[in-house]
Amino acid sequence: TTLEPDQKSILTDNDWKKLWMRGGINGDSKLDNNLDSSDSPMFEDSELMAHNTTVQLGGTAFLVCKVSGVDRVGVNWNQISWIRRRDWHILSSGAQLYTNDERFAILHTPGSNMWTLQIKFVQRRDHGMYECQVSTPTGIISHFVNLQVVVPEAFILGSGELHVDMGSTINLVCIIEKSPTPPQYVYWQKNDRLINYVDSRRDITIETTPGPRTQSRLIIREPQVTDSGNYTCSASNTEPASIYVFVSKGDNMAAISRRKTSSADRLTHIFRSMLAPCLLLNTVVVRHIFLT
Amino acid sequence: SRFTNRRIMFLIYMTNLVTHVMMDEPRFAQPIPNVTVAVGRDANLPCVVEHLGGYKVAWIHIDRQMILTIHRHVISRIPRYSITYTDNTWLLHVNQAHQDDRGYYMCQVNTNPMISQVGYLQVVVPPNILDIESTPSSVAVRENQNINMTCRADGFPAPKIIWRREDGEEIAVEKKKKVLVYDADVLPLTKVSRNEMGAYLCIATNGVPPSVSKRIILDVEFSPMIWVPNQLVGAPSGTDVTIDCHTEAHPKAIIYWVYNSVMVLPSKKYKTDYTENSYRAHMKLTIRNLQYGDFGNYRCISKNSLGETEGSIRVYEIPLPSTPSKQVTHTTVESRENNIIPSSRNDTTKSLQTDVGYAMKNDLYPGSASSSSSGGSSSAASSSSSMQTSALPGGVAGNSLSSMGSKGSLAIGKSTFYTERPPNEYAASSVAGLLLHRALLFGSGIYLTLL
Repeated sequence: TTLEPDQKSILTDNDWKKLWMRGGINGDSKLDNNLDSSDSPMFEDSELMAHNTTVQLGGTAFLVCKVSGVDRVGVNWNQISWIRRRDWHILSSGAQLYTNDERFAILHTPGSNMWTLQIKFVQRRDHGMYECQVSTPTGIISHFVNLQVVVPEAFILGSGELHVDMGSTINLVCIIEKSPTPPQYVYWQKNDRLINYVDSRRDITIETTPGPRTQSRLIIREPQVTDSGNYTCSASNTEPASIYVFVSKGDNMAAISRRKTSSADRLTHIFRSMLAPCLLLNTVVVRHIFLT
Repeated sequence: SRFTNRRIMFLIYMTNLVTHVMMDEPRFAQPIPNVTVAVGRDANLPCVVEHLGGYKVAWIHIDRQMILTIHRHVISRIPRYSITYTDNTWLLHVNQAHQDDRGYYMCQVNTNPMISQVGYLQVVVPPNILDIESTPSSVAVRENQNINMTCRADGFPAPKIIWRREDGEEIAVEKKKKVLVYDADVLPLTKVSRNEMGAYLCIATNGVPPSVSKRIILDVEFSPMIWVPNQLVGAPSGTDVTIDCHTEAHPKAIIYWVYNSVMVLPSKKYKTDYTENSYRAHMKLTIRNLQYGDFGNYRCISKNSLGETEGSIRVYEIPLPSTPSKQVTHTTVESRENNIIPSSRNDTTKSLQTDVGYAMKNDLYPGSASSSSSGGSSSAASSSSSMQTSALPGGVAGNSLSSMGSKGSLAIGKSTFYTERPPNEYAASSVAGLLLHRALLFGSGIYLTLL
């Protein structure tokens, strides 16, 4: 009988990726609570040491890591590091930056025990787990911060068009949600001109109710044909939402004409957006021909 | 139209510029090989990076989620890690590897976006037999009973355990099917017979030298039994006669002779011999200068802790041939008739003696054969010490080990991981770059013409 060693199954690519992600889930268990605080560094229990941080798209995030026992044991500067768990990208080591992404920075005052990771112009892809890691003689201790990137959204109830007759009432409702702080003001525009401060017309009313789900209502009583146009709602931290309002005398032919105009504008936009991809595609084709 | 042309030219220029920059970006010249190391040994993981420039290389142990090195600095405070850099190769040293060091290691470069690749470090452990969880080195069982002999071992990969007998005999398992090598942790022996008594070897192997083995001595206990080859022995007075019994017993039995209810002790009259082989014994009793009082029934007795048995041998007298010759001298007329009769009697006596001698030889021959065959196991059984030895008995096992050693090397597939960008596959030569640049300009010319 040939003596064959028992081959243990080796992790495949997918397996180690799962292991990778699972590490993030079980990361908190890595926090070694048995370390003697007088001999090894440990994380201070502080309000600043949040485990969840919410930041707005395009905003600036501050992830705080406060370590005690650093000076006592003479821990070197390069043993406190920030890591992005999404792809295990090292961001910093001590006060020095490792990543070349210029949006990252380390805020540290020499002599203090706080290493704050600053992320400017936060993108959607920055969402995820970040780890502050301290080296110890037996391995590491970690503090995890989950960064949530929220994108405030504005939308107007109803479809993209609204048809009303003269003498009726235009009633537009704009909802702004997913904002870390409620916007203080909601702007209404008609054909790119602000409506909020037009005091000459008494029949326009704007009511805004701030909250987790901010609601702003635009009411135009007894509209005229000249009130037709593109109405836009936006806040300081959102992309604008638009709706086209048609005010008619009851003549359907005019409405159909305006729709055609709208369609033409859309086709123009589509044509322009196709230009750049065609250009790049041409370049790629040339490179392909050359390589072949 | 002019504005559009400008935009197109600008985009082409930017594309060309980006392509040019990409050619000088760092890239991994070769994947990280998967390394296998025995626990306690040193291992090296190489990461070969070309066009590093001002960028930095870092090592991470993914399974521990621990940063090891950044550039030339060792971040980890585990002193077994170190880093060296020579000729585009960043070599991560792992000294005296632990089992915790097993896993994926990532080498990354801080480009934006960063590039990285991973390799696997396999830490293997030689097999080690666990005495606490295994059958003791000496075990006793009653004959016809069942016994399971267990052998547990740890190691990485998990060891494979086989059983074999030290004397090379076959093992009876699973409804008395006989095998030379049994492959399992537990060796099940059913209705154990005395033939299965002896030393068993449990051998643990996992492809990582050295393999280890444990020696377990199996004692099969049974009550004594006696076998008498000749129950009737005749001999003339004044001669010597030898009677014998064969006995088997385990544990070892007390064996002795009894005549007329008196234990026979060695003396001028009696001589006793014992020959022992494992659980077998051959007992002989020699009676010198047979006299009238020596004829009768002799008993051989065997007794141990499990029981007692005996055999019986009757010794009777055979008349001497000198008596008929005396009768001849008394009568002259009858002497003629007597001359014929004594001659035939003498012939009969000689024939009987010859038969007895031949039978004795036949009995002795199989006994000696049995003695020589069980001699080996006896000497093996005599050494009571049990230990885990790395040396295996027999050339066959050794050959198996050597061949297994080569097969034991673990083949782990390569694993490379890039994030957000495919590797730069273009050649780094400047000639290719120049040609590509001109090709792009040519392509832009075509595009403008079409426009």
